[in-house]
Formats: sequence, C-alpha cells, structure tokens
Amino acid sequence: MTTFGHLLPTLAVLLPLLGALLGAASYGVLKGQALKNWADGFAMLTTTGGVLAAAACSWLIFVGLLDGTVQPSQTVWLEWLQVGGWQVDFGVLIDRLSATMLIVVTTVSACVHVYSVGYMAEDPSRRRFFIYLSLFTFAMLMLVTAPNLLQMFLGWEGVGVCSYLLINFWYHKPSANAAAIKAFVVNRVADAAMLVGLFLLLATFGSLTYAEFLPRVAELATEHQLTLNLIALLLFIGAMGKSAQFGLHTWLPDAMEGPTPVSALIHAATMVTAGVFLLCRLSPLYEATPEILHLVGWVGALTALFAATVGLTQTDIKRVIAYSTCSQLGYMFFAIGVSAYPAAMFHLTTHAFFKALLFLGAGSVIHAAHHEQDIFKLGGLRKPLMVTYVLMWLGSLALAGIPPFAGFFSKDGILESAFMAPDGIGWGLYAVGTLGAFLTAIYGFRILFYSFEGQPHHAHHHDEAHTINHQPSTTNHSPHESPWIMLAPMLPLAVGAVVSGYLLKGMLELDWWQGAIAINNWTESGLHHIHHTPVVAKFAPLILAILGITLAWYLFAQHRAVAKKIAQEFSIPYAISFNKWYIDELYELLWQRPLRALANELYRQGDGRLIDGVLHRLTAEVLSTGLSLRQLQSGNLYHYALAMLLAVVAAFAYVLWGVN
Amino acid sequence: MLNITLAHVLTLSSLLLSLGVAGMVLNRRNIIAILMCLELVLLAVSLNLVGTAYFRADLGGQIFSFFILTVAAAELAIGLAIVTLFFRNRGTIEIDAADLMKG
Repeated sequence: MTTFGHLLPTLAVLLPLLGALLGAASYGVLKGQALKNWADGFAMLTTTGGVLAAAACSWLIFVGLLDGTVQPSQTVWLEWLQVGGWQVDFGVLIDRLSATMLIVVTTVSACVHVYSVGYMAEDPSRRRFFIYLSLFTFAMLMLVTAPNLLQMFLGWEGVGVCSYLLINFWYHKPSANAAAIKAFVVNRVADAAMLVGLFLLLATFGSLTYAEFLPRVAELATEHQLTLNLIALLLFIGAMGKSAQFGLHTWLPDAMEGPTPVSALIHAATMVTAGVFLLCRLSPLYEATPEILHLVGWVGALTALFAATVGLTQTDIKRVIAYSTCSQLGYMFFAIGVSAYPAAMFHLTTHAFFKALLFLGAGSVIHAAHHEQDIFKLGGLRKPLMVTYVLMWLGSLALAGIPPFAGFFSKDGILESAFMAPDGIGWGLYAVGTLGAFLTAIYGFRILFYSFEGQPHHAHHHDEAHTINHQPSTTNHSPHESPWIMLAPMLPLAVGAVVSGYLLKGMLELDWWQGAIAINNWTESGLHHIHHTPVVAKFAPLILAILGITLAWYLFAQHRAVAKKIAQEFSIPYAISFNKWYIDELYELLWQRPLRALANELYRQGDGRLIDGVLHRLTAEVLSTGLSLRQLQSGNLYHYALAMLLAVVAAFAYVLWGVN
Repeated sequence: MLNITLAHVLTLSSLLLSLGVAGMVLNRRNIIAILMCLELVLLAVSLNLVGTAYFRADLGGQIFSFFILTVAAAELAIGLAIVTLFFRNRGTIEIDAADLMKG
C-alpha cells in the first residue's frame, strides 16, 4: 500500500487519458465496418474502465486523507520549462481541496460514462463520444490537481476544447455548431483576461507555483495592492467565463445542444465549477483583495437571481436545468464573496451530485419521450417512468434545499455565512440569495410537474409519427422506462444527493481543509458564526423553498390555467424572463453589429480597395503593356527578316567600331 | 584583259548579298522566291570565302564553302518540304497567308 499509495494520484489523473488513447487507437487497429461494433465496445470498455479505476483511486485518496493514512503531497512527474530562474513542473498536487475535486470529477464522470453506454447506444459515433468524454475527464483532473497555474491553464483550455467538441458532437446540426462556437468565443474573451492575469502574476511574483507565490501574497499586499487587485480581477473574469457568471453566461444555455450526458458532466458538475475551484485555490490572494472579493460576491448574487428568474419561464427542460446551474454557481461565487470558501466548495460538491442526477434524469425523460425536450409537450410520464420520477424528486428536493437532502446543508451554509458576515456587509447578498432560493424551488419543481404530471401528450404525438413515417404498427411507441444501464449510474448520484450534505458537512469548518484554503480573521468571519444565526434568518430560506414547492404544485400540477393567466397578466416581466433579460439581443447590439460593420468595412476598404486595388492595377498595367507590345508582332515574314538583318548589321557595327 | 582583284570579288559578293536581302525583305508574295533569295545570300558568302581563299592562298576558305553548299542543300530540302506542307494546308504559298504569329 505504501508504494502503491504514492502512485494513486498519478494513476487517478492519467488513467482516463490512457483509456481515451486506447479507445482512439482502435481507429487505427480495428478498422472496417465489420469490426465497428467490436471497436466501439473496446473503446467504451477502455474509457469507462479507465474512469472507473480513476474514481476508485480518487476515493482511496479522499478516504485516506480523511483518516490520515494518506498525507497531502506534491508529486513532480517531469520538468516542463526552465527559463532563467523560473521553472515549471508537470506534477500532481494532493490536498483536501484537490482530493474533493477529484472525487467529484471522477465519480460524476464514471456515472456519466456508464449512463452513456445506454444513452448513446444507437449513435453511430458513440466511440468518438466516449473518447472525448475521457479526454475531458483527464483535462479536468489535470486542472484540479495541477501544482502550478500554468499546468492548471493547460487543463483549463483542455476542458474548453473538449467542451467545444462535445457540444458540437452532433456536428450536422447547425444549431450545435453555433452553440459550440459561441461557447468557445465567450470563453476566449474570459481566457484572454485570465492569461493577462497570469502574466501579471508571473511578473509580480516570479512564479506560478501555488506553493511558491501564495505564501508571499501577504508580504506584497501593502506595497503592490493595485497590482494584486488587478490580478485578482483578471483571474476572476477568467473564472466568470468558465463558470458562466452574469455577463459571460450566454454560452451555457446554448451548450445544451450537446448530448445530455455531456450537459450532466461538463455543464453542470465539473467544468463550470472550475472557476469556483480556482478562486478557492487562490484564497490567500483573494483574501488580500477585499474590494475584488466584494465584486465577486455581488456578481455571484446577481447571477443567482438572474438565472433563477430566467429559469422560471423557459420551456426546454435542459435549458431550465442549465439556468439552474448558472444560478447555483452564482451561489458559490457569492459564498466566496463573503470569504466562505469552504461553503462554496461544499456547495460545489453537493451540487455536482444533485445537478448531475437532475441532468441524467432529464436525459432519461428525453430518451423515453423520443427526444422531446419541451416541457409543455411532455407530461403524464409519472407512471411509465416511476424510477426516473423518484430520482428526479430526490434531485429537485436537494436543489430546493429541503432537509435532509444535500442542498439544504450547503445552501444554508452559504446564506447563513452571508448573513453573519462581519459588519452586515452580506445582508444584501443574503436577501438576494434567499429570494433566489424561493425561485429555485419554483422552477425546479415546475419542470418536474410539467414533465411527469398532467395528461400524457405522447399518444397524439406518436400517432402523427406513425402516419408520417409509415412505421410498422408493431413498434411500441409509448414512453418506456430507461434501461438499467442508464438507471444504475443514477443511483450513486442519488445517494450523493441525499446523504453527501450530511456526511460532508464538516467541510464548512476551515480546519477540515488543513490549510488548503486560507481565510484572514477566520474567527470573525460569517462562516465561523453560522451556528449563531438568528432563527428567522436560518429558517427563512427553508420556509420560502417549501412555499415555492407548494406554489409550483398548485400552479404547474393542479391549476395550469392559473399559471397561464399569470403569464398573460404580467406580460412584461414574463417577456423579460422568457427572453433571458434580452442579454443576447443586447450583445447583438453592443458587439456583434458594430464588429460585423467594422469587419464589413475592413473587407471593403482593406481587402477590396487596398489589396484587390493594387493587384487589379498591376494586372491592368501588364495587360496594356502587353497589348501595345504585341503590335510589334506583325506576322509578316519580311518584317522579321528585316529585323534580323538590322540586328546583324547592328551587331557587326558594334564589333567593328564599338569595341574600342 | 581585265585584271581581277580581291576588290572585284568582294564587290560582287556584296552585290549578291544585297540582292538576296532586298529580295527577301521586299518580296511580298512568294515563299519560293524567298528561298531563292536565301540561296543567293548563301552564294554570296560562299563566293566571298572562295575569293578570299584564292587571293590569300589559303585552302581553308574553299573547304568551308563546301560546308556551306551542303548546309544550303539540306536547308533547301527542308524549306521546300515546309512550303509543300504549307501549300497543302492553306492552298496558297503567299507570304501574307503565313501570319499566325500576328499579335
């Protein structure tokens, strides 16, 4: 165990890569249509097996860290760069922060891999899908275990690329293409800021290794406050892009164009939480820049509220969950804003379980309803999809923050630490967050009730399909429960959604993190005092959540006409919410149109007038010179003869008289 | 009896050359005539060589004139072949018809 124990972190990070490489090798070795099924099976086996093994390693590390048999460590694989006195290594850093991320990433990834075996069973390109998934897992693991920011950035961009590839997995769909490009471009904007932040950090500290620069933040704080603020701000912008915070969130809902398991893994549980992880990892830096921390808190709170209001009216089941993700990420940032990094990480962990569960449940619904995602066209699925229904209930209860489900512990931790933050700076955040919790309960149960309650729509729907496609009537088109291979991986997530909050609530204590997270004035921080939260503040979010669920039950399960009437009555707020606060339209007006006009103008002036102008002028000159020169070619033999003669005479004259 | 000197020979040769060149340049109708003028030019050169060789008592020039005669014969054979083909294709041997090179 001792020698093997040292290898565990390396194995956990590299096994998914190995699985992906083996799967990719099958393209070269097992060629041909006849072997396609075998090759697909082989790739699914290696990728899923690799991730499952990585998950096992991660849990061994995590449990070992908890009971003390594994010590926090930093393993160097190889020296990557050495420039002057600056050195960057490839390696793996294990402490409680990265171990927490390890179990979150590998567990959700393993569940998603197994789930995808069922979900993607009929897709001809499923091998590519699994390879991308495993590659993503590797990049994400590298992101969370990197001992320095440069390797972290490699993983950061790696998950971005894999996200692009997976959103665009069904590349024949123009909407998927557009969504993938949008995700990539929005993330470029954020990453550009992040890269500048990294440069600035390197210039200020001379190192990008956490262990080297983080302890020195405090000593530089007084002298270089402005630089530190700038670094913190730029890195936060990078985190905002990846974690879809307000302003740079526009790509996340569109990213739902990808297959549902992708949404569960990348756009709910892991990649989008990278920003939260990064800020927690850099907690000493953010502790030294209270102004930026304040901004982080308000951006998070704004996102939490904004996304919750938008989630209320969307009709696509996946988009609602995507906005929910956006909103929950907002909670995590707002926890960071009040220095409650442990609460943010705790919510990240519980959220990964219940949100992945919700997405996989939604995938099960979509699978059962033959790729119908509009909640108004779903309905009455409770009886045929009993297992999915129960699992979705668990996930939704956890999302709404009902005890004893996981979301209750983490969300309350966040709200209470905001309420108890010193000098009442968090009261505004608390109010916004509590309102958000109310809305969360409503939209969370709205999709549940619309999908599962009410009258089934499918009968009519599939009659149409029959007549259009002339399918044989023996085919069974009624909604059916998903196969066990899809339901089984949802069970561990459901267990996580139920018990992870209670089991891991020790995460709310700073000591639990064993120095991986630093908080100045811990004894005065809000998180330290959450046990003294006034009863009213403690129970307000819970009561509002229960009210929200009841309201959702009344409006969306019992009296849908009332819901429609409310929508008509308040048409302006409804339109704002339905059109996502017109952010896309605003960006169209602010960025796309001016940029397109500028590009058009550059095309016309630069390409059209300058480059084409020079070329056209050049060719025109050559042409006219040629035209005048061709007059010399008369075609008459005697002209040539005369020219030859004259030339000979001239040559003789030169020889005779010209030489000397 | 007129005493023939090198000057006479060279003058005759120059006259023949000029005649040949003038015939080539001024002739606008007949390719055969051009070929004949070409022969005239070559003849002028040969005469030049033979005359010079005689007066300088150097056989080299006379030998060279044989080469010129041989080459002239070969050239004429090819030239006439071309003219024959040209006639077959165009039905005429007028020089003005050979103007494909006109720009």
